[in-house]
Amino acid sequence: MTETILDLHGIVKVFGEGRTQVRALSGVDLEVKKGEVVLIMGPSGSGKTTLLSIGGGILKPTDGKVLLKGRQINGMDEELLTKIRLSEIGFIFQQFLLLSALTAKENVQVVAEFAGDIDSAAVKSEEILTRLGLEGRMNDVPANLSGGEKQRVAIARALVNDPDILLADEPTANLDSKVGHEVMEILREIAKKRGKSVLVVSHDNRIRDIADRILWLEDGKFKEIGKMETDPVCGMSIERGANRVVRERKEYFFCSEGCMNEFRKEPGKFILTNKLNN
Amino acid sequence: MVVSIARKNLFAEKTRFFVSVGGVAFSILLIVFLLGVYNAFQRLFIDYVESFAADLVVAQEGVTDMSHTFSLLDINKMSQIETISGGSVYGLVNRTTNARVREEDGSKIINFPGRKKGENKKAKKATINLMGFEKESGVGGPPIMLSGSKTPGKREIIVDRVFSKQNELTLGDSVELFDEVFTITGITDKNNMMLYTRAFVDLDEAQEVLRQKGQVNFILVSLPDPSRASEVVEKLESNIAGITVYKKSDFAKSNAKALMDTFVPIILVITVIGFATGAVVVGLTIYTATMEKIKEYGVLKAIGSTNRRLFFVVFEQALWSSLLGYILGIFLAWLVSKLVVDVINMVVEFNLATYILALGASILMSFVATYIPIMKIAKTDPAMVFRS
Repeated sequence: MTETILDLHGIVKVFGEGRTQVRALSGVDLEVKKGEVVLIMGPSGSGKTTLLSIGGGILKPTDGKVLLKGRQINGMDEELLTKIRLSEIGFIFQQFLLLSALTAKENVQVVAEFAGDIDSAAVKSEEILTRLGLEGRMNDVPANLSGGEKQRVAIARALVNDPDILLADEPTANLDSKVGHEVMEILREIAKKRGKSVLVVSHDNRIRDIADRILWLEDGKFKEIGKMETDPVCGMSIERGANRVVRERKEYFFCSEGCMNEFRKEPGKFILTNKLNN
Repeated sequence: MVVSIARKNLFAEKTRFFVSVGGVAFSILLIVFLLGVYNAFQRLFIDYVESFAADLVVAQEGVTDMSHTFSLLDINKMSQIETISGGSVYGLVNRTTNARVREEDGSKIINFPGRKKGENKKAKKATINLMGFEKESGVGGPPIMLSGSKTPGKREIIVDRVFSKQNELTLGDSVELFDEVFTITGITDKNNMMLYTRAFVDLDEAQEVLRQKGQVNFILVSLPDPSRASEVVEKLESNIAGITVYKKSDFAKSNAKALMDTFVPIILVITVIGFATGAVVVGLTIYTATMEKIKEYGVLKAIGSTNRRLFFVVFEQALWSSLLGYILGIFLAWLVSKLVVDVINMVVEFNLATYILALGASILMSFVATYIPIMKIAKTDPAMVFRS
């Protein structure tokens, strides 16, 4: 039986109190197995990022259990939780969030040093960056790297302490589709060849083919993904709804009237793009 | 080599870093320079008293020092003191007054028969602290001689190097004191007290021009057995009314204390302003740098860095600014001291205690400067990294 790395059980998260109270998650269950790539999709404000933060031990759930390799991490004291985040979880962020004053190599090295790996941190960082095709960019600061390179540095940073699971928040949001796909392929390779679990939250429907499992989160709960469509203009996953256009006997759905109107003006452009992307 | 986020952050924003270092340097310059001036003055007061070839200083009862209280002793007390102490006694006259150093038209004062002494009211004047000492013994006389004679004769005076330079007067030139013209026959050093300089004349001459024949201001006593000083002090005070007797070292300390009581509040206020200036400059630059990178600190917290480690990153930045500012500040203080010594003849003396105090101040600046940024980091929610 495949080992469960992350087990979220009955997760409830409520923000605020009284009239301003917002229920972001309403009893969410999620298991991520070793070597599995799970993609959580959903509209903005659906609770995806909240779920990721809780899974990563950054946010405490109002109710429910967060188990990392069978060990309950919610309720742990902050110091221990910090150590777990450092050594057992790797984070990848939408805006890359590299330290601007440090070079690519230093951005990776510093995280290894945090974990106490002083002697081999530099060598390890070089190895990972080389593996990710950044051997020529090690001494460049983030400002001199492209979006794809920055995200690969971020992946290297997430991997340097050899964590069990990578948590990625919109990892392709600031990348074009080709580079976004490359980044997701790297994450998949990490999962499959190195046995790491990867939990990704994203709006980006173009990366769904990379995932082993796709979950749709909406209004704080997982929903069936079968009825989801892709907005051909912005690429966002959406439910079938009123913003609908039929063209050449095929139905197209849009996240907003803006996208729908744009499609109506020049449909050929988006149908073609959509085909290319797929 | 371990990656130093603090150093990298500092050097990535060079202008801000230099502003920060400059702020501390200015602050340290101010603190060190002031302390240097204070040290030098204290030394001038102490050194002169310590130079007396005597063991005791007798003053009018209640007098604590030579500059803030006025002592006047009848000359017949000298024989009483000599008898009771069994030592040698020397009179010392001390009065701060104005000396005419130039005629109204700027020419040097020249003595000639029929010169209208004291009538030249618009003449250029300089303040001197006139010391009348017994030239035969030299006790109470100038401790250092640069040129000329250390035994001034009739209507002869020894002036300080700074007095000589400021008034462009040298050996052979004249000054007028209480309507009497004195010829400069010696140049001494380390007697520049900023507001005035010490000048030395023979005791009889001083008594004559100051119209205090039969009186001295202090009596210096040289004991045959200095180890009996405390005993003699008690004996003198119990047998002679109206006097206070000090051991020489106590009188030196008392003079230093009088100076300290006058200047320390001023120095303290300026030092605190200097310290606050440095702390505010470093504090603002570190605060700005921290707030600019608050998301990066949030990332580090999310990834797994402890608050303690991040606090150290911020503190290290402030410490670098403070320590480099300290070094620059010390150098600037040294440079300024050289300039003021040469240009405005001010005395400045730096010692190890000054450097240590300034170092302590600069380290304290780092702590003060990092307090608010550290609080900001402590309150930063690592979940912020997920907000775009």
